[in-house]
Amino acid sequence: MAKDHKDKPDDMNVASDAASVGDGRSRRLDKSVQTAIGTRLRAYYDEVARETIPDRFVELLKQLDSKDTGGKA
Amino acid sequence: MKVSDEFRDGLIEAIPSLRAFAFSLIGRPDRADDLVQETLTKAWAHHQSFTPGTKLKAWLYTILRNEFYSQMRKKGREVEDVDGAYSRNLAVHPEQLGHLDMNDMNRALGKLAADQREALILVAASGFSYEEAAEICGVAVGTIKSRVNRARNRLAETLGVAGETDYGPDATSEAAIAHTVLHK
Repeated sequence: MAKDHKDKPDDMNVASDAASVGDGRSRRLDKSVQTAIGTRLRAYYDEVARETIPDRFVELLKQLDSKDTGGKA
Repeated sequence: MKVSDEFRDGLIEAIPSLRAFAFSLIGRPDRADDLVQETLTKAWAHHQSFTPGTKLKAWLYTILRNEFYSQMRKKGREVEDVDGAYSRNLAVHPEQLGHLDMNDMNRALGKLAADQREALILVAASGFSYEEAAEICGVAVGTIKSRVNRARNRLAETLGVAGETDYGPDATSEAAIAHTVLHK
């Protein structure tokens, strides 16, 4: 098992490995889960972000602009 | 004082990502865009309190987030029905949530506690650092980290991204089997 973790010196210590098996595993699990979740979450997010900006926002900015220049001047 | 062109351009540039943030918080396109509209209006009105040179995006996200929670407080019970809101949304805008992944993710996000959901989105989707997310939410970095962690686990559970089988070498073979079965 330790062979899989050459980059993690903690795991070379058998005693602490035995004590923290659950912990170590959940951390490893997290890595793959993180990647999977991250990819899907970003795809979801980007799908909305890629949409054309609705006209209402173009209108809104025009409105704010005209208030700014016209309004109290 | 007039709003600078730079500020104005910054707002426009941020709209797509603000929409995505709002949508992932609320799960409904109509309400999400209302929230973005509120955010832009507030930002415009308070442009003088923005410190040039700092991240405009983070500033805008903070406004959007505050607006979201103040609306939630005002509407109280109505907005607590997040799950319902998420499923209603699916019926209203099937074309926007074209494929199954969108629906799944939307529903899964709806099942998260609001504080966990926002932490996860900020860090994993919006591209903020833990520190920036902590600042946006007004909590400690450690709090954000643990919220993100819990949110990830919950999401993984709901979406079936990882289960007990992911622990050992069996996960690979099981995944292969599942793959074969699904693509028969």
